[in-house]
Amino acid sequence: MKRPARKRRPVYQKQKICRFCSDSSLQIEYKDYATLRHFVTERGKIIPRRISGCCAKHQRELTRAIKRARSIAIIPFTVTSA
Amino acid sequence: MRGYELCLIFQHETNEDSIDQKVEALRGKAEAIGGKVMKVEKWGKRSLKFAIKKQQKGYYCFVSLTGNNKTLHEIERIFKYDESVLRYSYIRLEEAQVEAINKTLEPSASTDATTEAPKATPEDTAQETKDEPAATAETGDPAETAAAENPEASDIEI
Repeated sequence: MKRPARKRRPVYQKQKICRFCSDSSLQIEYKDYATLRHFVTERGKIIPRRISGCCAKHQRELTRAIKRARSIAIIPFTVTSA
Repeated sequence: MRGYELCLIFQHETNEDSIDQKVEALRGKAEAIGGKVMKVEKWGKRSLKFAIKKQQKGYYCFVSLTGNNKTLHEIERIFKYDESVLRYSYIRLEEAQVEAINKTLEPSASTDATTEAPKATPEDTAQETKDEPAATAETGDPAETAAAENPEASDIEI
């Protein structure tokens, strides 16, 4: 006997808002460790847009800023658990 | 003339006088070519997030300047073979950024353009810790909490 198809529960997700769009006073600066650190994981990877909720434009800017910050040792490239 | 921002990381043992000297030398060279050093921002000693030339600490100095390709060649010539410089890098500034820097300098145009950075190391760290809870509380960022809650989603263990 075939099992009746289970009803899929719709997945609700809170709309993510770009932090930089909603607050224009926030600037993306490669020297600003305090802001950038929210957009990298504990291991030092850049958090994807799908998770951080940034808009494409600001994610691009963020990526550039993070890479610049890495090159001058403000943000680590990787964090290996010792 | 384009605006550039130069980041210099000196060895932390380098004394400030010699750093000042090097920046002044750069100022002289830049002005001879036709550029201008707009702002010198010293962060002071900071720990590096990874070792550069086996050094864990460095003295950060940011120099905003205007110039052209000759200025950049000159920068490379000065700092590339300098033993006390752990790393140098420059980025191009947008015109709006250059104007913003000039605007901040205008009131104190008569005084020396060299200004100590407002965010020195101790203040900076204090500010960081202060900003942190406020920022999360304000936005209640779902992204961050999500990332914190399920690290496997964002951070794949290899």
